[in-house]
Amino acid sequence: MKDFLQYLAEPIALRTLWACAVIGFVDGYVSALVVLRRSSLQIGAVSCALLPGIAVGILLFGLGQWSALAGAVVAGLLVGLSSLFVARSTVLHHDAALSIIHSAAFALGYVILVRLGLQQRVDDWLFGNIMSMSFADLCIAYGIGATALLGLTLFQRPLLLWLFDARTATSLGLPTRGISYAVYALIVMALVSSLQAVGALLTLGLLVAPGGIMRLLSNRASTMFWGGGCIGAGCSVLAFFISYPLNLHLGATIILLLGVVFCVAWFFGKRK
Amino acid sequence: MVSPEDHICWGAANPNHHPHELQVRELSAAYPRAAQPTLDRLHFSIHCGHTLAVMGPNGAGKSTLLNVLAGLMGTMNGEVLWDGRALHHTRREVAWLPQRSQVDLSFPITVRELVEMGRYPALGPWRAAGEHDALMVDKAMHTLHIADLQRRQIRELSGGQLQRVFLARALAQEAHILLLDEPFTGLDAPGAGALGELLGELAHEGRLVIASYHDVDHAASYFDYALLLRKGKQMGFGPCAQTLTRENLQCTYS
Repeated sequence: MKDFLQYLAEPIALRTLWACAVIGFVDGYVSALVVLRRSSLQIGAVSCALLPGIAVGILLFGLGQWSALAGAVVAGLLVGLSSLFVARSTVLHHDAALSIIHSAAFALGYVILVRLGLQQRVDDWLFGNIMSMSFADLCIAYGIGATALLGLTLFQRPLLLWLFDARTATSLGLPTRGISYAVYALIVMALVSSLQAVGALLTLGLLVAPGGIMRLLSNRASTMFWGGGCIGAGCSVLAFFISYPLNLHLGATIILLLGVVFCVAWFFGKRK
Repeated sequence: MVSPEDHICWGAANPNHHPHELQVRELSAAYPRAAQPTLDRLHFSIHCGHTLAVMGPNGAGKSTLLNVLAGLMGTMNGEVLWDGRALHHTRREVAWLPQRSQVDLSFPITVRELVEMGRYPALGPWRAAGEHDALMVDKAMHTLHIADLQRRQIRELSGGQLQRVFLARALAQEAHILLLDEPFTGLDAPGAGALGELLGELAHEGRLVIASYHDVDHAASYFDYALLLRKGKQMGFGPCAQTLTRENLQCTYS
C-alpha cells in the first residue's frame, strides 16, 4: 500500500490516471455507435489489422511514436476498404472476406515485428501499456477524443436517423455515404487512440462493452452514448486503482472489469 | 393528451392547395452491371388525391420504381417531375416507408421518437423542435390512432401498428407523396381492409399514395389507379377498371 501511495505521488501516475479516464470515456462514448451500428465484428477485424500497420510504419520510418500511429491509421482504413472491395467484387460475403484479410494482416504484422527484433514490445501493442504513455501520446488521445465527442454530439440527430434506417435517411436527402465513411474513420481513430492503453487485441472490448452494457440498461440511444462514456471511464479508472496494488496488467484489468459489469448488467438488465 | 384536431390543416389537405401532378417521362433505371435496364422507358402521370398500385410479377421492377421515386437510386434516362419541378429537388415532399423486415427492430427508439424523425427535413440537424413540430407529431399520431402507444419501444409493436407508426412519420413530415413497399404483406383480411381504407383517406386529403402490390383480385378495392409492369416495361396504366382487364393481366403475368 505504501508503494502505491508513493507511486501515486509521481507525475507518471497522474498521467496514467488521466489517460485511463480520457481514453475510457471516449471509447465508451464511441462504443454506443459501434453497438447501434451493429458492426462489432467488423471493428474486431480492423483492430487486429492495426498490428501490421504498426509494423510497416516502423519498418519504413524507424521506431517512433508517430510512425507506429500513422501506420495503424493507414492499415485500419486500408483493411476496411479492401475487404469491402473484395466482398463487392466476388460472391464471398463481407464477413468471410474481412476475417481472411484481417487474420492474414495480423500474421504479417507479427512476422515483421519479430523479424525486426521487437519481440519484447509486441506484447505492448497487443495488450497495451498505458503506464508508458508519454505526454505526446496523451495529447494525441485528447485530440482524437475531443474531435470524436464534438462530432458525435453536434451531429447526433442525423446520426441517429442514419443508424436507425439508412435508407430512409437517404430518401430524406442525408449524405449517407459520406456519413458512413466519416463514422468509419472516427471509429478507426478511436481504435488507434486506445491502442496504447489496451492494445490491438483488447481494444475491441473497450469499443463494444460500454455501449453493450448501456443497451441492457437503457432504451434511449442518447443515454447509451453518455452512459457508455461514463462506464468506460469508470472501469478504466477503477482498474488503475486495482491493478497496481494487486500487480495486475492494467489494460487487461480494464477489459476484465468491463466483462464483470456486463455480466451484472445482463443479470439485472432488459430482456427480450 | 392534446387533441390538436382542428387547429391545423395538413399541407395537402389545405383547401387552398392546388392539385399537384407527378409526371414520369421516359424513365429508365438500371442496377450497376445489370444486363438489362430494370425500368424501361416508363411514362405516366397522376395527380395527388389518388392511390396507385404498382403491380407485376416478381422482378418486374416494382420496388425499383419506388426506390427511384424515393431518391434511393439514380436514373439512367428520363425525368420525374412533381408540380413541374424535378422531384429530387423536393425531397421533403416524399416519404418512403420501409418494410418491417428492413427495420432494425432492436434499435432503442420509442414510437414518439420515430414519428419525430419526420420533422427532420423541417428542422435539420440543429434547430430545436418547437411548438408547431410537437403539434404536427401529436396530430400525426392522433390521426393514425397510435397516441396511446407513444412511449412504447418499436420492438413491442405488431406489424400493423409499426406500419401505422411509419405512416404517422410520413404525416409528421408533411409529405405529399407516400411510397410504400408491399404494405399489405403479412396482414390478415381485416387488417388489409383497414389499411386500404386508411390509404384511401390519406389520398382523399390530397396526398398521392403509391404502393407496390401483388394481389390482382383485391387491387381495385384498395386502389383507384394501377400501373402494370413486366420486366421493367409498362404494360398498362390508368384507373383500375380500365387497366386491370383480362387482356392486360394476361400480358403482364403470363
